[in-house]
Amino acid sequence: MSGGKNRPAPTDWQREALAELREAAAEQPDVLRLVGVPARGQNGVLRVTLRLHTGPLATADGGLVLQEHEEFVLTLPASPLSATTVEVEHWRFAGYPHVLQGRRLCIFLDPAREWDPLRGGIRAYLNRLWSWLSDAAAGQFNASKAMYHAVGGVLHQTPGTPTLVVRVPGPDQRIQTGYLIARTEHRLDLAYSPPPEGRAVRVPVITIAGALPLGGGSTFAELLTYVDNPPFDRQRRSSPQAVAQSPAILTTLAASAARNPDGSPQYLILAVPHPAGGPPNLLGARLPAPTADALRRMAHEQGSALNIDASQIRPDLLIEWCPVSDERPAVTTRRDDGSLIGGFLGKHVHVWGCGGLGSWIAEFVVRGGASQVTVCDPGTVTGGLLVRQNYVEADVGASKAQALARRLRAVDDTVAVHVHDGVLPDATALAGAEVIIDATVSIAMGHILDRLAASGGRHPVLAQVATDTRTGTLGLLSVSAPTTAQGPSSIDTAAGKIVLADPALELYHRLWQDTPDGDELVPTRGCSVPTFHGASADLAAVAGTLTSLLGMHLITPGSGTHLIALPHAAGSPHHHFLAHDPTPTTP
Amino acid sequence: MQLADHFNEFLRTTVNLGQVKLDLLDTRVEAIYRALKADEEIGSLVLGKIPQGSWAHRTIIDPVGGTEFDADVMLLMAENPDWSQSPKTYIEEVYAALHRHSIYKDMPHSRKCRCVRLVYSNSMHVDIVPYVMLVDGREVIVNRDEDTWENTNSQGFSTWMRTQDQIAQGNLRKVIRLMKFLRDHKGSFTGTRSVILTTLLGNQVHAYKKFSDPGYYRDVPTALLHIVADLDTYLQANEIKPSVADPSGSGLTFDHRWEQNTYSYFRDRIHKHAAEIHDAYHAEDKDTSLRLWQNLFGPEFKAPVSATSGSKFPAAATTVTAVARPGRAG
Repeated sequence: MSGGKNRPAPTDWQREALAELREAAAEQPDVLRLVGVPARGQNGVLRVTLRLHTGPLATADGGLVLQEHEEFVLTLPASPLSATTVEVEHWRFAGYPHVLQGRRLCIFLDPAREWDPLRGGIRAYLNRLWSWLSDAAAGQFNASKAMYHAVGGVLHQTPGTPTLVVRVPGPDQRIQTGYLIARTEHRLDLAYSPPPEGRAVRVPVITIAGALPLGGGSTFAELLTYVDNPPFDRQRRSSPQAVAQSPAILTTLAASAARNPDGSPQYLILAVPHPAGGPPNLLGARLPAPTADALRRMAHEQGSALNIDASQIRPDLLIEWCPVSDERPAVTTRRDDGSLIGGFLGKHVHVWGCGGLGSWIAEFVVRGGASQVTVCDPGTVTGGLLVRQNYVEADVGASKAQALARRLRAVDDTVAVHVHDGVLPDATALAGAEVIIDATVSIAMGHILDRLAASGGRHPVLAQVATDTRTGTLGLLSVSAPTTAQGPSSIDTAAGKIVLADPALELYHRLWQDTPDGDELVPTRGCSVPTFHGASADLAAVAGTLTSLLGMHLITPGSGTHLIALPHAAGSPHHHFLAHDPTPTTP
Repeated sequence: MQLADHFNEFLRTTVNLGQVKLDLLDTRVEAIYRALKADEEIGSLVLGKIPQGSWAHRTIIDPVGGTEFDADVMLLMAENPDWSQSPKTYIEEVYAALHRHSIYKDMPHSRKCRCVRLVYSNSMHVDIVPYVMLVDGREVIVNRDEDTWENTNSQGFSTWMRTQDQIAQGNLRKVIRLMKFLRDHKGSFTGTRSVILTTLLGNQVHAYKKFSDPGYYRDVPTALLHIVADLDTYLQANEIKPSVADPSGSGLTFDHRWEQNTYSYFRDRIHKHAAEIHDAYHAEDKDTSLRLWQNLFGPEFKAPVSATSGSKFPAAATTVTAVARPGRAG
């Protein structure tokens, strides 16, 4: 029985795409031709070879050099859910930006948002390919923005491997010893000095001489080949070959393996220079335990005379790639860059009151990059609070401040969290505060902040937050800037007079009026303290918005009161700011 | 309507100086620098180069017709005590160095009041401004006409521009380009120098405006609306020409060649443009809004070209090509 009989027939999508390709070729035979017969590949894909007349494309210095005609292989997946891919069958494009692993053209930066098989179909794909070629020939690609350009344009990741977290800058030396410290079963952190508590594995960090335009390969031997002498270089190279790096890598790896426990895998970090300059790309690799053990044996047998010939490495030894969470400041832009919460970056923030607003605000502040957070609350976590505060079942019975501190440290292990189980931190803790957020809705606490503001000189940015009792969909933020002598409570009082006198702000009147019957609830029979109505989704949204607005005041000093309403609050305006313009104090 | 997509397209296709020309400027300035650095007479004094002006501040626009576009570059030079009695020697010596060079000697080059100008055949020139950090700490450039030093703050203006542009969420530079387009291509408020226009527009940007409206500068049309309206308010409050201080803090002003009649004309035109921008921005009907924006900026202000029209492999009439990458996330 021939193998062909078992192959599935082309899917409707593939037939449709093929028909479109033939139609486009028939319309413009001078531009597009289909070459040969479409071939079946693995996973039901259909491979179609195209020849495009690329000679007329304008070229520029530094642009991709195209021949008069170029051939491309389109891979049509069985389902339109996956994007079509395109590659070439030569190495002439290798090393150019947006060429993946030397042959595949990166047509889509984000296939999820760019690939639409039902609108435009395969013609849209051809247009993308043509645009790609036009831009490449004209030298329009920015090499520094091409993803993973240094390592073949692709993410190196083997399922099941731990993520290597790198937060410190790479070494200046070509070879340096690093230490991987296990944080969880999924995560290893890289350090350049051994941790005092031990339990770290050694890892060589090796800076190689040049980029890896074909990527790192899938076997150990392939990696060493690519590092020493990539296949396309063998075609191009006319100058004498550079010194091979694989002997040093092998020696270093074996020496490192010898210092790690038998039966453990051996890790390797490669710093790969970026073709566009700047910090190197980091690749994390892992040799499975049997391979690592073989290296250990060699190291023990040969001792200081260790010298391993790369040509003796078995070609079938797999190498595993670990995802690298590269958090080095020189290569990482925070995802919240440019947003209002950026005002909290590096700040020491106090959050007083860890309830419906305070618990979320503290979390947002930490995620916003605050360097230190002080939390205080005299309460304990009860089960009913989980409905709208960010505590979890295991926190029930714990001090709120302690429970919140645990959560904050879990969010970011670089932030320093200080905890006070009372209503207020002590005077020493107050001295270091840059921002104080009062989320207690306590009248007495408001007086304390007012006194702090009036004490003379600069003070921390003082803020008071609240929501409404009836719905938890309104937000109130009063801010006292460092040179304003009135505290947030006074500013809030002044704002209230204006709001109550303004019919356009009727939605917010309730924030300064007595609570009507029914606006509060008694959550548990017998509970003596009525509380407000509100859900976690709403409170997190209100807390988030107020935190962002406060972030603005940390960038630009200013005092005043913000009123906000969520979109589904019963009224508008959804945001209103009342600037605080204090009357100058008369002697 | 705001028609923010139209603004992006208009800036990209009509207003901005193309990347090829910008790259050319870069290459040529680098080549000039290398040539001066290699000069036997003054090479040892040449310490660095600092891009200046609209090129450096990314407010440069495509010039009208065949008009030259230019680059200003400050040439950082070590102080030469032998020339201390005559600051203009720095300009003379840079000029002489170009005159000695195998390539530049055959290109038009001339001495201006504060710079040496090198002219290229294809509609561009480079102004090389000698810049010295004196031993007494002053940063100075040369006034050749008066043979004196002038204080400058090479980084101050750039820092101010960067700060104001960040407050305006990256839209100030685009607003400046749009207003320069109105001046140069539509012939509005001629006579007002770029540095004055840039400073006046930049001075309108204030972070506190975002307290009341966090989206005050959220996109190009909104930033244009608010910055020009705020400039209009400022100008209407100043019937007499105000002094325009160098925001770098050099202590200089830019208004010495800005006459009262030029100012009054500028003031009237900005008042008119502020009203036009207001009407176009707030028009609820798209056709009306587009017409009003086109009345201001001309017919090149139009919708972005879809991927289907003009593409190499046009789609059949019944199909529509998706946008390149929609502006959404999850």
